[in-house]
Amino acid sequence: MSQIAGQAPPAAAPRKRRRLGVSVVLCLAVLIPIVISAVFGSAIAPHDPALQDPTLGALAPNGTYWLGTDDLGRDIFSRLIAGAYTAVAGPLLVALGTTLTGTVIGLLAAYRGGWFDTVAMRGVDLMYALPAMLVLIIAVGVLGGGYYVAVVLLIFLTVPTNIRLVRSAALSQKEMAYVESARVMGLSPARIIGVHILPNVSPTVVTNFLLDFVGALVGLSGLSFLGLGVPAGTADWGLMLAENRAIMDLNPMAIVAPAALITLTATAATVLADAAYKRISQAGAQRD
Amino acid sequence: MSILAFIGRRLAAMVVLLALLSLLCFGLLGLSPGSPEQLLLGTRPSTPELRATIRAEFHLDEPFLMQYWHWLTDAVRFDFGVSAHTQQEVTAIIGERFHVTALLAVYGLVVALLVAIPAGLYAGVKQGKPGDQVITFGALLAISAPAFALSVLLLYVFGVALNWFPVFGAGEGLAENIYHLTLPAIALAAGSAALMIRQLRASVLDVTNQDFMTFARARGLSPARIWTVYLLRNSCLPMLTISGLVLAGSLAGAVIIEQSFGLAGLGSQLITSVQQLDIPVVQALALLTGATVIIVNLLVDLAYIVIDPRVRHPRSAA
Amino acid sequence: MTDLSTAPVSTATDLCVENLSIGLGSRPLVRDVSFTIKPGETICLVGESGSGKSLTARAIAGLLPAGLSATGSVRLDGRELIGRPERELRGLRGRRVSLLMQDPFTMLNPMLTAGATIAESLPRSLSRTAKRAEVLRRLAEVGITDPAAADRYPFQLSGGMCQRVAMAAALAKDPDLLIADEPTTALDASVQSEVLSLLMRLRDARGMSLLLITHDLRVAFSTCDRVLVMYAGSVVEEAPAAALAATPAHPYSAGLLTAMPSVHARRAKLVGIPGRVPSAADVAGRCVFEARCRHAVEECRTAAPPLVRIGEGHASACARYEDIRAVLNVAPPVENDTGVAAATTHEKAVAVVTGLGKDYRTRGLRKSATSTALHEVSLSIGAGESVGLVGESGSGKSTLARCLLGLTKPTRGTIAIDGVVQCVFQDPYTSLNPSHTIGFALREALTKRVPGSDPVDVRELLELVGLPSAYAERRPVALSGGERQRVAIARALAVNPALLICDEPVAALDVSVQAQVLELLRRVNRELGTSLLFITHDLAVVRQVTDRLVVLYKGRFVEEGPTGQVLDKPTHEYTQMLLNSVLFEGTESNA
Repeated sequence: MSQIAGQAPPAAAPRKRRRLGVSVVLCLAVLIPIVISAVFGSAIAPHDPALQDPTLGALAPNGTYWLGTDDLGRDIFSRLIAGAYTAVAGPLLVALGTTLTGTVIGLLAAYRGGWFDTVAMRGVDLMYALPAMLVLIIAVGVLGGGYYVAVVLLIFLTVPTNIRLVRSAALSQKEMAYVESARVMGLSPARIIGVHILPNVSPTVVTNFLLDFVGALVGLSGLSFLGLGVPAGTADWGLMLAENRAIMDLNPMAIVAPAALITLTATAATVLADAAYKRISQAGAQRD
Repeated sequence: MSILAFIGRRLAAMVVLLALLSLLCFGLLGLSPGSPEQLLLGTRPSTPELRATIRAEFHLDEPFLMQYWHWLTDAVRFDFGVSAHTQQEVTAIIGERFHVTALLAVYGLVVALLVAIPAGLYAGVKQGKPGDQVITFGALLAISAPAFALSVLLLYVFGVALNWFPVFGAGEGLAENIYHLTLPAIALAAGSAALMIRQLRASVLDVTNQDFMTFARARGLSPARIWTVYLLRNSCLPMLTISGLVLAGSLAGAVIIEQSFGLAGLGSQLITSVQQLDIPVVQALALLTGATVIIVNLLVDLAYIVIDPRVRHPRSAA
Repeated sequence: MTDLSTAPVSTATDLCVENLSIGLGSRPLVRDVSFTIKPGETICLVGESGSGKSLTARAIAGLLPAGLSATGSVRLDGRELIGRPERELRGLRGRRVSLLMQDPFTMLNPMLTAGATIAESLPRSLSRTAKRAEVLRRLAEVGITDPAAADRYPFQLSGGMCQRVAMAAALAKDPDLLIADEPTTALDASVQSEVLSLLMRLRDARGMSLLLITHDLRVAFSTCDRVLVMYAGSVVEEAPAAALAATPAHPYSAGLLTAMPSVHARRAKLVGIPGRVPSAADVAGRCVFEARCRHAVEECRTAAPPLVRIGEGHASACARYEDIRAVLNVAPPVENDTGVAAATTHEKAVAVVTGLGKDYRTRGLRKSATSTALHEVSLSIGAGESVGLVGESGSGKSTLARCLLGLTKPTRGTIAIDGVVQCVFQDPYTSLNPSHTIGFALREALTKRVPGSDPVDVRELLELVGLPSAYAERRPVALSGGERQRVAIARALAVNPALLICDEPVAALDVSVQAQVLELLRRVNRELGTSLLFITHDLAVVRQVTDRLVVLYKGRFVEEGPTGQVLDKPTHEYTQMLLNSVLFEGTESNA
């Protein structure tokens, strides 16, 4: 190594697998079981999450019911597993929808500029003036419609943030000499956007995806908490939290567990977003 | 000159936004399932006379834009009609509940600023030290924890388990209000404080690495002056934007907090009215909230003219 | 001059630096720097990026960035500064030692007016009116006579004005020693020489000592009594300015002098220093320059040679000085370029620009004001010709390039181009896409190769610009600035352009690397026959590469002719002013 110092720069590190950080491992340890629960649902739950046994009432955690039961005698632990579905599916759809549309519109607005950019940005400004949660409550509450209407609405309400972030990341790339060289070379706009700009805004895109997931999780479970969105009786973390408030003195786990799960999921995805941003932008870092 | 133009542009944009917002709010009536007549009838028995009165009162036989115009001209005089559910004046309903929400919003902002400014500054100055790591991790948790989860946890720990704070209602009188609203304010402030801490930490880091900080030390300026005129003034500027966002967003945030803590404010009223499909009340609350957001944003922009010379002065070379 | 605070002309300070080392933890960054500054003396620390010169300056002022620590001794009038608590250092800063930094725009607090920045360093006891008067007097001292400037914020002032305000602020407490870290590097050439001569006048009037940090040997020669040349964290040569210019005693100093382009003559061959600057940590226990030195032998690798006195105030850290002294100061051969353009006739033009103009719309309140970046200019570039375009920032030179490249639509006029145009931009760090390998970039460019050109592959392209073919697998992050510019040139050549536009291609590079890139461009022009439009602010650089020269001033061509002729006998006063602001070069006398 030292012989070539001064003669040539250190060889580019071979793209070997770098070790994951402790925080990333912890996040995955939280998120993977939740995704598994979302996929298999009640099939892997120890009890039927919908089975009522009013004779039991709200039990504190015990050997049979690990996290106790609610006032209708339903097993909290099983309901948490079943509730992973609405906690993952909707937010995942929202994140996919916003990331796809936001990235496409943001890239085009930055690269094309002109009227397209102006229209897109005025639209974004308008959406920014509307408090998203409030629009969601009123729209879902007044107009009716359930969980999936809320999902679609959330995509509309979240996409402006995506557009703005992707656009500004793409704008700073657009000014770089390599993009101008590509234009001078006569490469097609599609190739410049897709092959040259997109890889360099990918840290922003991936971060957006994860943070939109968090935002949608908080938004959708908040709606459920307010009694909007999912129908009553559904196993949903937000709804459980609302329903079980009355029995918090009998079985505290009935509220602590769903609250903790939502918070943990959101925190893990946020940490993952930070880590992903750092990692991806280091992979293509401009300066050493 | 260009400051006036700047203010003028902002005012014009505000008017356009308000117009669009009011159109959306009014449109709720037409977009809701069920006929407007049925909605406005509420729980009252459906008699032909009453239906005719409602049609006349809300100009339901006129074209949509005329209906909007009538509604808007009333709305700017704070006349939103009566609740379809209780027949109470909408303005009276809002008036009764306004102070709880306003107090909660201001209390929340004060708590957020009191926690975030010292914590953010400390974390920024002591970057990488254990204190910074604790603060950063706390902010991460607080930013990820949804307000309703936090509310219920706070209620359980401090209300039920420790019994330090009341679990229901806002109490009577200011002192009792403040006592009762402490847990709700903390729940409301947690997310915004976390946001502020992250922002402040980042801008302190940015400012400390600036050449002007080194140059200030190189000239032997006192630490007091470097801290106040150099570090604080430059790194606290973005806090104004965030404070505006937080204040404007607290009405929306109050919905969940008030619902969790059983507070009779505008937020819990909104949920009730939404569930009852009480359109006049929902319209008024939506317009009020949206207008607050727009006006607070405008005030923040104007405040920057006062405190940031870069906004105040046109960017032309001398 | 009835004032209260101008320093009497004799209390200047004696600074003594001994074995100053700076490290990040156990990793050395600067090693064993020693020198003294006598009262009223001016010392220059010269070095390229990574030499440790700025850290040395910071360490003397006690202002090292967090995490770095200094050992050794820095004594001010016999009082040790290293290890002294921050509280005591604060009392010395500003009053005894002050520091002026490089970037005029980031050095001043954006929230304070120029007047407030100066006033905050003045005694608190002054009344408001006295303070105001003193501020105006201080501004006048640095050549700002308009009192309105005191009420301007930094972002309302030009770079030169900001640097003057910063100078007044740095001197507000009348220090005995001023450390100036690249104080003119960020400024335009003409402003640069003004600010530098202002600094000299202030030094003489105040009788203060000056420690000047610079990467530019010309600056050093025209201002200093003694020069210390730093490389990879160590001082390799210390010499009186004139002696260093005439008889450099270290291969690195000699290499720098050879690499430095001259505005007075065109070198037959531009010779840079191969390789890149190592980090101080990698060259422990050996000569720091050994890896890039063509005179290196085994003994250079086994021990670090000490700085040895070889003459009056002259010391070199070269172990082989006695063996190689004869070959160190051989003046590089020059070639005659005064008649080149006239002698070559270019029958075919690759680019003809006629009446080109460009207006920019600046957003005002109601009426949209337009500013004209380029008035009607006309230019013809012949096949195989190399044309220089010289101008300062705001002259419209980049606008012209962008119009030719099709990146901007001109407002008026026509451009006719026969063939393909390619470009090399200034910033080596943004000219390559960080996401893709060098090979990817070159292969992509080859897909756009002009039909009918001789086939060429990535390996040949890399070879053409003097890079090993293994570089195809690397990403830009693993390349130095000079290597990146060479890849950018290879990418442009892959298309086989008729005209290559180079917009300040070496402005961001160190002198020793500059020469290699310039030589490469010269070969592209001479051997491949590619026409060049070389855009620069640097008259010395333009002389080395171009046959014909166009001087652009405020959007208009003010002078045009064969490069050598224009630079030897300028006719327009703007060109003369530009030439006058070129500093001493070392091949002339210092008088």
